[in-house]
Amino acid sequence: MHGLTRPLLVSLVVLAAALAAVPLLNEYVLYVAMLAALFAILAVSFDVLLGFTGYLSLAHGALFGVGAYCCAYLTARAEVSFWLALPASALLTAVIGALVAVLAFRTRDLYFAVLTLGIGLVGHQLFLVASGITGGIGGFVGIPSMPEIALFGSPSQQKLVVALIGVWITYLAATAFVRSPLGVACQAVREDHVLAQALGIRIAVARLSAFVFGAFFAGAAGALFATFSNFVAPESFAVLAAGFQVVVLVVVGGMGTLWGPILGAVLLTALPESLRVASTYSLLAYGALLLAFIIFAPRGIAGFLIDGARRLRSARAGREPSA
Amino acid sequence: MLELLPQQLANGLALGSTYALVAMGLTLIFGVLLIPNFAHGELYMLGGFLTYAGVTAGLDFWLAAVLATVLVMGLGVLVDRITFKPLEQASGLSLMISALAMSIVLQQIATITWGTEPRTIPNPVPGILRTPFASLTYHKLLIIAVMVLGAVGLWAILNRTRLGLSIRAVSQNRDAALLMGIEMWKVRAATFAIGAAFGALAGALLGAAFPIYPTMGVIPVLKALVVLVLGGIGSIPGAILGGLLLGVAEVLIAGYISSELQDIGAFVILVAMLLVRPQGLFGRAQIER
Repeated sequence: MHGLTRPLLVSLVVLAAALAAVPLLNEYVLYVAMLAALFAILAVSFDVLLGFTGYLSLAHGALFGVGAYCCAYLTARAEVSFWLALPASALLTAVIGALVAVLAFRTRDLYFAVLTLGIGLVGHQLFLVASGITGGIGGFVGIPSMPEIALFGSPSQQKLVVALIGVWITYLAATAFVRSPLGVACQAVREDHVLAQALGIRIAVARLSAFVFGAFFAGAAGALFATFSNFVAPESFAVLAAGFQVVVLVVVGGMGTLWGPILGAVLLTALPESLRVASTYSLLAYGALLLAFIIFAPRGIAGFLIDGARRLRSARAGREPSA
Repeated sequence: MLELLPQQLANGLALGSTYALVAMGLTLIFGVLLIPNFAHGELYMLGGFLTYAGVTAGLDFWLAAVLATVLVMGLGVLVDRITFKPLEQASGLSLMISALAMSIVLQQIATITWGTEPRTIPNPVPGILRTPFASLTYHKLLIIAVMVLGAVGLWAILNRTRLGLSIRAVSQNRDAALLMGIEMWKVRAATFAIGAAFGALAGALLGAAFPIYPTMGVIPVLKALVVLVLGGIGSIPGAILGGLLLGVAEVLIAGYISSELQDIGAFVILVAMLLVRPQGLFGRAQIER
């Protein structure tokens, strides 16, 4: 658990800078930035499983949906306060994630991807079928907004501030997780699960905790998404929507780093919006980007930045003796 | 209820034949090259769309289907070149992500070309065969026949030609096969072309009875993967029997329990199979936990 001070300080500086920029943004940019922040939470939580444990799950979008519907139901129907519904949604999603994981981790590799793809498809189907709770294909209408926090400015600014703090908490929690003994065990599973097992590492506990960790924050992101949009529909949580998108964000941003996925989420959410690319092409662009990155730059944007920084440092180190 | 059983079984065999057709291509590619080709469902979809394009351009259905199959075979080789060849040394995880990306790209290209609204091809073989026990449309009989012919053809290629010999050699031991002077690129291209042909044929045939749309490949490829789990990955007889078994099971679930549960039923079978016998009916057990 050592060495947490540096990520804590760096992330605090980045968070402060982002928060300082909030009052400068107009309504539209606030909305886009809020979406990017929610996807950053989703991507970081997903990377703990994909990048650090080496399992490709296609059920993450469905877990995001579980959090969203849970929060929608709690705040709109049961009239629970949002601040109670948020942790409750995250916890429920974590519990469901644990059930899914117990099942899915009977398998590995292709089987795991297939099983989670099936779970993702069934999850989406259930959101459609269970219309008593979810509103079915018409969606869940009338989810109450988050209670006002006047300190953070206008409602749109409040949303962004809460989402940014959410990213920060997720990032710190993920950093703490991957550096904990459990997280290290996960990385051993990723490198060679047979060897890890032979070394006496309890791989079942490690990968289960990675999945549950991811599910918890996916649920929290879903709860924020529901209360920010006031409306959720099953289409957002389909395998081809959120489920596929997080894979792209993590791979393009940089698998196996925790800041890479944040970068991926920000760039990939902001770029199409700012370029006003017709939405018909956005999924094609996502697919092409994912393909290009996994083939030519499997370490993602983070890989470029790390290499660049190292080259810069070694260039500077090389110059110093002569100077 | 029971007097409907022969009819249900016949319907199940027809449905199962389509699963078997899709699964044979998928299992061939996985068994020989260890590549999880998620984009197989999109080859199936393109088989349907290209046949549709041929028919709307005024071609005869059979000619259009054959042309579509040949085109998709070429496309299958291209998909391998772009998606999997550059990742030969990479992990299975990268292969899966890249397959997923390719499948989205192909889906979106189809969406941009043809739009999302479902299309239909006029059925080339209208009519129903009536027997005392069950009646089947000629279209379903055609699918069963093509599946059987395809299986026989695949068996003949694998067991009676030099190319088949090299494919089998690579699937048994890639390194040893390379040392024997087998040219890997030929095996890859042939495997992908044959695999794609099965997907395209299934798409063309199904397109003549069911709507064609860009995401139509997702469910069949999931079902085909269920079939692979049932039959054992890489086993051709497993793909055929697994496909038929799944088809019959689904029809029975829909007929005797609830039609809403048909798709979920396939999934329950998948989970149960993975829990009880992960190597499938015909797979070899791996001694590893």
